[in-house]
Amino acid sequence: MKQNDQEKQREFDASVMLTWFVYERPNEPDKVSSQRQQAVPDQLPAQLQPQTLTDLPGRWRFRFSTENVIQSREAALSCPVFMADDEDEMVDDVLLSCVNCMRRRWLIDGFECRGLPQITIV
Amino acid sequence: MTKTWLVCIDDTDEIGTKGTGEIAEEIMQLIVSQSSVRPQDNPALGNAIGVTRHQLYVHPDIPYTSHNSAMCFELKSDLSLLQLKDICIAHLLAESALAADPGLAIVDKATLSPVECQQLMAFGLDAKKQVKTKSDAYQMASAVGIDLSEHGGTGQGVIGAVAGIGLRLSGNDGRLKGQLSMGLSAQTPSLNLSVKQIKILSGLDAVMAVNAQVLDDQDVIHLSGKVKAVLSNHQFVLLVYQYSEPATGTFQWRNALKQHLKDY
Repeated sequence: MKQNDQEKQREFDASVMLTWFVYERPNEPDKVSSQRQQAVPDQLPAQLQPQTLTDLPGRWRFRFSTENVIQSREAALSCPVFMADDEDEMVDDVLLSCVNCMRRRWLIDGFECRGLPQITIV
Repeated sequence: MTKTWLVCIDDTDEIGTKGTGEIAEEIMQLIVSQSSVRPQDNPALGNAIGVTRHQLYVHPDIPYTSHNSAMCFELKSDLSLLQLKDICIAHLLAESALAADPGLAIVDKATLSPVECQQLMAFGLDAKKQVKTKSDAYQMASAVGIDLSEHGGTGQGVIGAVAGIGLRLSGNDGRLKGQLSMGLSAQTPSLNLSVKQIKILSGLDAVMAVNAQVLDDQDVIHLSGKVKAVLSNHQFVLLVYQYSEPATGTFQWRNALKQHLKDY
């Protein structure tokens, strides 16, 4: 099953998800990633220091408010890696909705998707 | 000697693994099966005998595995603290995800003074809006006599475990894990029941509107979809909202939607 998911991720052109998600590259830090960078102590050994910001993976942040279930449902309909979360963790009455997915991670002001593959935007 | 215990676990899961709520429920059932005391029959709570889910703070400085929610339950048992703890640890070790940071908190409810309860509630409420540390959690546990332990990874789950106990004690936080079996099925996707019937069928304490108005026994509720309870004012209640029928303009009480429930 996991293998299938990985294959789906590889074959999927994730750029179609840009309608609903912003792909945040690490060299365009938002306030959250800025806080994370500030938390990295200068004293870390060289091998543990982040190389450059662009070596870091990007992340998929939902463009809309978490209240916007219509967009959340539309996005999930286009997503091949949707995985239903525990029923107790769901926040939309319609199952197929990104806010109900096990791969979403809540942020202070929204959520990000940990299931979509990394992409290169030119 | 039978005691009333509060048990809370946190940070046991990751993507694709068994949820913390399910693990909590299994631990609760294991304890019940090994205790001489049996819980009172409660048709409402069914398979979800009082495990409540408590949402904690989401912040980039808080490393959480999947949801940052703690799961807490209360039960009576004649087992000792050590026996309870052994059951909990064995199951946590067997079922927690490899990348998880599980924490476990257990306390004999009767040993908590009113002041200690207040301190715990304040800790729980703070943990919903502030970053807490493991040190904070251990200090609080030590101050009020909670048995607190970590079982893998960073052990970061001890924070949520203590916070979950406080939030459960507050009586005003959390959703009851699982769904209430009210006779809905594929053949009967919706039905109308009075508040009195709902209380009898479910064992819930009350039916309450989203504006906190408690409904009368004769009020009728249209039930459909997932029927879930929340903890409010130390009672398990069915949350409902008023729906306006577009065709007729008449009002109807309906069981709360997920969007309403997420505030709990």
